[in-house]
Amino acid sequence: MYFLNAALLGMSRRVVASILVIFGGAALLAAMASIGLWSHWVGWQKQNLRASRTAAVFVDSIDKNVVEEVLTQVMQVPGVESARVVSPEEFTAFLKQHFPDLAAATVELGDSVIPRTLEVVFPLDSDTFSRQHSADQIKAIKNVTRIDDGADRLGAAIHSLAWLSYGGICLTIGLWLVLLIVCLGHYQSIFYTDSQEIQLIRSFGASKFSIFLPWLLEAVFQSLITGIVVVLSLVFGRGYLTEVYNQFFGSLGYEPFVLENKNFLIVSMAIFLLALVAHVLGGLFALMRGKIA
Amino acid sequence: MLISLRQVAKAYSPNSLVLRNVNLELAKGEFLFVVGDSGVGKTTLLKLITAEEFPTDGQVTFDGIRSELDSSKLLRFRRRVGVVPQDYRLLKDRTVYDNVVIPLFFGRHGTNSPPVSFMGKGARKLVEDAVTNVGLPVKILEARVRELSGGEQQRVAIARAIINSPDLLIADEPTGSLDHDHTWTVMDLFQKLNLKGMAFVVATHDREIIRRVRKRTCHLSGGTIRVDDREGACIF
Ligand SMILES: Nc1ncnc2c1ncn2[C@@H]1O[C@H](COP(=O)(O)OP(=O)(O)OP(=O)(O)O)[C@@H](O)[C@H]1O
Ligand SMILES: [Mg+2]
Repeated sequence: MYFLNAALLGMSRRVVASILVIFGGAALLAAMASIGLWSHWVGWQKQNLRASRTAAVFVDSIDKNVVEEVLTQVMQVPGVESARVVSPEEFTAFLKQHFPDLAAATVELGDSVIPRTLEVVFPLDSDTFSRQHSADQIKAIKNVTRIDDGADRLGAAIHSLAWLSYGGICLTIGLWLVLLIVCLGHYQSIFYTDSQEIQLIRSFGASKFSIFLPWLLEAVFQSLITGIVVVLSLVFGRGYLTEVYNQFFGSLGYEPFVLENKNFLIVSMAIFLLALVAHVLGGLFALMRGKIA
Repeated sequence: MLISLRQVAKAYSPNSLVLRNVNLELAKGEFLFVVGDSGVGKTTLLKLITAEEFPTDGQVTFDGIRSELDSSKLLRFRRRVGVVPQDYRLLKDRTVYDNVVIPLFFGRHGTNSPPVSFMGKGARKLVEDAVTNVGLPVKILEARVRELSGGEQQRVAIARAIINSPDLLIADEPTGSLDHDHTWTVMDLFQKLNLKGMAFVVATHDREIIRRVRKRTCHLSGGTIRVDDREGACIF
């Protein structure tokens, strides 16, 4: 109880510094959490972009039976997860959205000029080689004019997405290091101002452990409060974050970002852990630098 | 032997010995005055005994433990010793209570002191007894040390040193800031505690104390113990 008391007393004696460290740390951690989540999501998106898993297969006939026939054959190709016919209405809607001029032209020319296409989806885990193999087989099917693989089209974009997510992760780590340095400075100044007291209780036979424990408790308290502040701000900022993230991917055919409760829990625990580690490590470094224990 | 110094020398910087050839033995329950001119090394000798400083040469042992060798035993030894530093070393921004109660955090380890939790009513009672014994009113406990006079601060330091009923009390000029009456309150208290078995090492300038208390007296001069007067009969 002495230790608890000493820890609380310590915090109340340097209330301004404690509040600064708590809220400064919370701001850093909140930034870390949102950037970290974002880069994780970008990395995940990279694999999940639906467009990159699909290929458009163009059929050279508008005959319904021919299209159906091609569909059955495509479905039999190994390495194809699913396939479906894209209706002419769907195709014109797509044109209207992305290529309005073309759409206007096709309206004048009538239904017959609209190519009949199939949308083929490859499994998530298919590698480039087997996918190429499947694409070649599809191409060989009678009445198929060409196949347009989304992965080829999105290759460059996916590549840059990967770098974006790496950048985000580096930024996250950098922010955490900043937090660590802030904590180091904080605890170093505490040890400096309290060195008289430390010397005194040492002369009364305090062990290293009992000298360190109050500060350890203080570090734990402060990181707990920091974690609570961050998690609360995430709870309230969740909707806003989701919106911001989802604006990023415009028309790439992305999966919208959702923070499920399970993931939210994991993120919250990670925040607490990161705060705790930063505080405790900061305290330990300060202790070693001050040669107090 | 509670304390024993053998051929001890101490230098703070390489070429200037403060103490040399110091041989001293203190039995359990013994009372010892250390006298000598200012700057002769009384405080240094006391710091060697409390293992706050370590000897440059020779050996200091506490109850058979060599200070520089065994740090965990040293901790336990320190908990059996009460110290009144020459500069008091009080936490100036805390209350008197907070200062006096500190030694109880680490438990009572003196041979004739029952353990007391520093949280319960028992601790409060011990703190009150300690300040009353040094002639301070109980209401001073809530005051901050910064607000006290020099003599009051000195007595707070004494109260802090005795609260644990240590086996050995080391006091460096414990009456340096006290008036005549309070000096004798403290000295009477020391003698009473000594009768109960607490050993004392007291550094002092006060000839009247030496004359009236009549205990073993070590005279320091020229960096060593010139006279070790067992009867306290020799008046310097
Ligand atoms: N930490 C230190 N570093 C360097 N020199 C020191 C240190 N402490 C004491 N000295 C020197 O050692 C000598 C003895 O000092 P000490 O404090 O032991 O004297 P003292 O007998 O207690 O004097 P006083 O009666 O004035 O308290 C002095 O010359 C002092 O300058
Ligand atoms: Mg001195």
